[in-house]
Amino acid sequence: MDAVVFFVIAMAISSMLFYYAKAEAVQTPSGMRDGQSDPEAILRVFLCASLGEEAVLDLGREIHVSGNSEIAECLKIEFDALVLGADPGGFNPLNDRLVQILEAICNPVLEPHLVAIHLFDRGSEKILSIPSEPPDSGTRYASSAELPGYEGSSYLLMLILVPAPLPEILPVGAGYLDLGP
Amino acid sequence: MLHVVVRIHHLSSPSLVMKRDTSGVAGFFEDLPVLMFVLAGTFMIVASAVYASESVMSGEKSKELEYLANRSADLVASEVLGERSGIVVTVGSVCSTRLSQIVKDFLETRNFCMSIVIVHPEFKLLCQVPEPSDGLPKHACSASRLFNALTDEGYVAILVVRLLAW
Repeated sequence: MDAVVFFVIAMAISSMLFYYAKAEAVQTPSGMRDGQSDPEAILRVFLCASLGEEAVLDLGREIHVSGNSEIAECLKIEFDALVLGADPGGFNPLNDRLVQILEAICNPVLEPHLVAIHLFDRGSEKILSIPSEPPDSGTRYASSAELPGYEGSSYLLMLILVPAPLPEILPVGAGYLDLGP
Repeated sequence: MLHVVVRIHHLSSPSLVMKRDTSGVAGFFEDLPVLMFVLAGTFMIVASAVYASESVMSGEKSKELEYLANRSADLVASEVLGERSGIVVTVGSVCSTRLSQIVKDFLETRNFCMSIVIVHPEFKLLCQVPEPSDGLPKHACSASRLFNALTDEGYVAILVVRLLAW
């Protein structure tokens, strides 16, 4: 009987020790963040960078945006046009380029979403969300910047990083790879 | 004289010795379950204590390495950008700065590998110090910092400093 009691107490002690060790391992070491996972750092360098390549916009007539243009300036022009009723589809080449740049900067395990909201006296209105709407729930990291807008209004630009979905694991030898003849 | 000899022979008779041995062996097997419980309990406590201490030691080492990697990346970024913020440096000046010596002085005996990469408008490795050696470190931490720099073509590029310390 004494041996059984000793064994039960030993189990309880070892369970506590394992729990403590696991809690230590899971605990985030500190508040330090990696630059490529930090939305604030990414948004800061993104807005100051050049577009890199010329983008041709179809807004009734062709508009060429130079590769030397600052991204913040390009966004301000796009937001002003959208507020004035321009066709959002005309800005697709520019938006595609912006998404490419964001994906190049971000940590590959994170998926960037850029959301813009027009702030004016009577309220606010979402005017842009690229490449898609960010998910409503789950882990998200975000940072924002305010850009001066049309006639005293302003634009709130938000960069939202969400964990990228894990790639599908394909079974070995299932015939997914076509190696040719 | 003859009487004494007979008494000694009687005391050391084989039947008496056999009886004592048999009872001793039976007692040992009866106690085996108790012994197993005690040994199993002791082993569990020792194993979990060793695992917990190893885990805590590993966590402490990771924290220290993470601090060193982040601090080194901050030093590199501040050396590249200078004291004044908002100034865009050129890609050429980033390459010419003796960044590896700064990190080496800070990390002292620790090993490290640092690379500076342009991620926009094109992907290009600017420099890597020291050259990666064979084998992987057991405990390592990495840190990265982003900054803008002006290219020869007149674009404001995005550069990443990546630092691995072990």
